[in-house]
Amino acid sequence: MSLAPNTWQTVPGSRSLEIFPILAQPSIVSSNCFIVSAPTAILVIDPGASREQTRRISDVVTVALAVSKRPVLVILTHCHQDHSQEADRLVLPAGTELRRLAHDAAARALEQSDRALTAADVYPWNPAVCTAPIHGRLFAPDGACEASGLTFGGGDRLEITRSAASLVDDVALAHRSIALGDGERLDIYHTPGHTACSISLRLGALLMIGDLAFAANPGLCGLAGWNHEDLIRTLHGVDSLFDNGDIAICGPGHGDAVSAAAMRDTLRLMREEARDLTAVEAMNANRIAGLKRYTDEFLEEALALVTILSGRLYAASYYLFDEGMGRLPVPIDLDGIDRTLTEFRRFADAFNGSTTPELTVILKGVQAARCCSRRWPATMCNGCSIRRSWVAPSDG
Amino acid sequence: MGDLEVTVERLAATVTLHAAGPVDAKTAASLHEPLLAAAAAPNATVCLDLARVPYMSNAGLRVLVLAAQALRARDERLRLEHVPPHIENVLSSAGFTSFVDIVA
Repeated sequence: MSLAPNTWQTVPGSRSLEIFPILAQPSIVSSNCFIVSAPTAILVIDPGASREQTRRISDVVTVALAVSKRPVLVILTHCHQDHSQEADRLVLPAGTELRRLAHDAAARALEQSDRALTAADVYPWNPAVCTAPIHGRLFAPDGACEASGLTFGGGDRLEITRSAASLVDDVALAHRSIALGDGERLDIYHTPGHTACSISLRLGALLMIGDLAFAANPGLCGLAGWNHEDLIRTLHGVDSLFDNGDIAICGPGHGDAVSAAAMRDTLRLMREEARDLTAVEAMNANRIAGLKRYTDEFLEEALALVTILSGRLYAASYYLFDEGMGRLPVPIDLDGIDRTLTEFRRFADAFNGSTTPELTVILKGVQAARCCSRRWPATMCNGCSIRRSWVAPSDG
Repeated sequence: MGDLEVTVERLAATVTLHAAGPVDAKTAASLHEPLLAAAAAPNATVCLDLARVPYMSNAGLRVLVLAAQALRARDERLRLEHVPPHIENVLSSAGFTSFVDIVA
């Protein structure tokens, strides 16, 4: 089961919900957006940070409204710039009632234009933070300012209901839900860790988890709002959501949707890896600059190492075989590693002189290192830890 | 960093290939065909000019070995000209200097 990009399709496990996924190229510049057509509302989940994507969203929602006029809910999975910047930029037909919905902490970060919590300070072009009002605040700690529903001009109201969270392994995810008509509903779970304001959204058999799957990434952990304890607890809680087997597919904030089984495996592996991330240095300009230097050094050293190692094998081939490479008994996919490093080198070269955030190169470097590591026999890299080396390069 | 361009110059009994650009997993095929063709041709000394090659990866070394093997069949050695120091270091560390000639 998958979600096809840029087309309407029935939400898996639902009868009357349709979804139009806009799956952006994975980057920290702009997120995926999921547009959902429900009987009582149109949902725009994470509009992102790309003007082009905003135009697309506006067009798609406008067509859907022409079929059936409904309120539009813009929902943010968290307050990061790449998910939220365009939250007030949709161009919709006159008279459209639009409400924004997010975690209370996201609402506060956006209202206060907090550049650290929204990660706006990561981008060299100094983007403005979207300060448009959040009409529906979820999971407010004191409950006083939490929305119990969203009211619209015609007197219509979408109730936000609290329900008892199920306890699995003593881990509970705080939960809200919104009825969307025809027996359909949106379940909202508080899933902090990547940020304090992270929420995950469930429609039918589809679970949208924002950036949870990237929360332990060495290039992302330590961003303002990141919290190790919360992350571990959230990963336990989300794992329990898969227990009933009625979630079929997961939509991350970046990249393609994946099966629930694959996402569960990913999150479990991540939970193991995240266990050690107890003393992560705060991600600030200095740390980003240090990580970028480390990434550059990794690239140069890995290229030199792989080139010399493969060169020695080729030199042996020269003497062992009359022609061609023959087959040397080396269990390393050097060609695969070479392709990965070549791609990364070209990416890193293209970065120079561009306005791409340094964090992008760091994340690409981590990805390349992981890819190389998978192609390298485990018996030859005992004690290596890509995660550890990127999280604490000075000890690496 | 762009693509690899290879131009072939024939002068008397010498074929010189001038490479310009990185020789890596994406571009090595552009060097493979003309270099192997030159190596397979009889009676010509084959030179590869690396003056404008910023770096050479695993894929480039493979092409050099294949060319060196083809030349060995007729008792010739591949000549590499104007090799940048960092590439010469790699070639030296990998043991290529025992079967290719590096000339200024």
